[in-house]
Amino acid sequence: MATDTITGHARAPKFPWVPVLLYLTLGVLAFIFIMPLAVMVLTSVRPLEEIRTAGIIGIPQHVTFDAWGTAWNEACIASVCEGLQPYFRNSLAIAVPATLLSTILGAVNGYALTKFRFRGADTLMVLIILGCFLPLQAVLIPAAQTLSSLGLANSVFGLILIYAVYGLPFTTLFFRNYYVAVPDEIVRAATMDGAGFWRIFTQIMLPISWPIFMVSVVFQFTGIWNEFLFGVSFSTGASQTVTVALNNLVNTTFGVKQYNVDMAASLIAALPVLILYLFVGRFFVRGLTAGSVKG
Amino acid sequence: MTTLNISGLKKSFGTTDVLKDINIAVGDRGFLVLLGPSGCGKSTLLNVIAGLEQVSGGGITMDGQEITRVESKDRDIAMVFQSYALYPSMTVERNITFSLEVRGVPREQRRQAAAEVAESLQIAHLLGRKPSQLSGGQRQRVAIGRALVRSPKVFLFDEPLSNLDTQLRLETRALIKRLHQRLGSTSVYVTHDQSEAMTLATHIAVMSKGEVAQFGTPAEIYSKPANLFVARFVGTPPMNFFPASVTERQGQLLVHLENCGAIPPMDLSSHGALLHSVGRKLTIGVRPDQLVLAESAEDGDPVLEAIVDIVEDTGTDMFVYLRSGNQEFILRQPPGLPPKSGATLRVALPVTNMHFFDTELGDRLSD
Repeated sequence: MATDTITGHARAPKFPWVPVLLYLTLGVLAFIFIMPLAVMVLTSVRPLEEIRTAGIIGIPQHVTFDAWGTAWNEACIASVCEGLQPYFRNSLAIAVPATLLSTILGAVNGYALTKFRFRGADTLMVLIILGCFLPLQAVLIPAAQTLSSLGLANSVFGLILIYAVYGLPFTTLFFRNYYVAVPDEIVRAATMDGAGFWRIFTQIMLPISWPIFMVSVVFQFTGIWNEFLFGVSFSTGASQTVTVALNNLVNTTFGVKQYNVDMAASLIAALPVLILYLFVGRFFVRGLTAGSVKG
Repeated sequence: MTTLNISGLKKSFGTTDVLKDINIAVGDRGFLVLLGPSGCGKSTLLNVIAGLEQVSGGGITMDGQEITRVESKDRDIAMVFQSYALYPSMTVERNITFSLEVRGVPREQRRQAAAEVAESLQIAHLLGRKPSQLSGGQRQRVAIGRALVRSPKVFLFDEPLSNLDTQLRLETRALIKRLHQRLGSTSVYVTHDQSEAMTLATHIAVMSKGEVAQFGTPAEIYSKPANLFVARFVGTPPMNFFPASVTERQGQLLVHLENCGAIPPMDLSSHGALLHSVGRKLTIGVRPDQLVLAESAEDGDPVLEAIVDIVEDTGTDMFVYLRSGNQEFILRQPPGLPPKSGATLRVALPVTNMHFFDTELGDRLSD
């Protein structure tokens, strides 16, 4: 008798309502989020003829990558018909150095502000962090003046400088918050071992900084790659960034709207960030939550 | 071998004086322990010796050479930290030899140095590991190895055992003592744990509020505490204190215990130093292990009737918490049948083992 009550063989298995509801909700949400991307991908592989007859949303009848090729190196932007490809290269040439520059400088800032504390360090920190709250529009005109007085207007270098400087408050904040959790005693020990400011930074701090380094790189690269306002203000013609070129491509086609080319171009422009997230997304999350470094 | 002299040392942060006129000398083969509660300035003093903090006044000399303004790395001093402070990304071997690496010692020599040090600390099998793969005790051994490898003139220890559990703390304490015995290097050791201080030190500086409350050998500190602060801080369980007063009658010095009800005053005419305290408040200190049960007391020692509050049996000792009138005190007894709570004991205060302090000034009345 006793064993019967314990095993409870009389009770019917319960229907797992909670997990079922959970997955249903998640499924619906995932569907809603993936829809626009799906439509873009599907449209980009349909021939223009099919889009015109069957409507802009639909399953491709025959799949073709012609639109991708056109978007990459044939589509006309203003009077130049070389596709997105030169501007894609511009964006890479801007985003990669600007990302690295702002990340490295942010790391040095965060290190100096936490481990080599000096009079006024906290005030300086607050001032730097205030930069996070400055809207781009507010610095547009001063930035334009600075660039022209430096002779960097309308050049790739000008945009690198602007993006690197504008990113500094964020990267500084990231690294400061990370380094604050590293025990000061490590720096003291290294000082007594004879290491100086830069050796401690490169040999002790940087090797333990990769989680926050990833966060900073992903954050900066995404921001810079997708940025439009500075791009459209400070680059024209051949030095345009990919976002500006994409905008021009979509807005300036003559005659029939080439939806498949527009979609392919948008996807191409979005691809680097997507790839970055695919490869380092999990480091990004891990880096955001990683705080202390256990010695 | 090295002598270390600290004279007139001052350190302030803004308007707060953290160290006020510190004067300490450590001789050859000396092991100085800076002992005090948290916030007494002992760690700041250590950092000043290490060169990690600048002084506000006074100076430090090593072997007669002024080092007050010398940079930390040029002082030939190594330090072991409470949190171990190992470099997380480096292997144990590289942690130990980092200082040599900075000084440009060739790889082969570094490897050999690491092997020797690791051998002496029994961590040779750990050389390839990262700090995160080590236990607390192993980490502290690596930290000690990092200090040893440089054969510095002076070793500094900043509460190196505080993060270890009891067993490891005893082992590592013995390790440090053994190393000091073997190498004889001058050492300065900061702790708030008086048993570490008593066991390791050749000299102890008890610190309080940025000042040295007493500087002396462990035996001096224990047997002749210079003031109430030291008397209270050193010894477990702490010394018992009995408020008292002195009167003079017909050439006799009579001492009255104030909280213990009606017991006859003691005639302490033999203690000449008390003469100056007539009419002043006095504190009499007696260590728990020097109180005796009345049966084994000597004639003339005052006897208190006390009620047992609680009894702590540690296995090696039995600590009896007692109350007599308003006076609470602790008696140490050898292990045995513990007295029952509420029972009455007759306890004698041996005059020969009394410490006399001026209650207001806190100073010891010399005998």
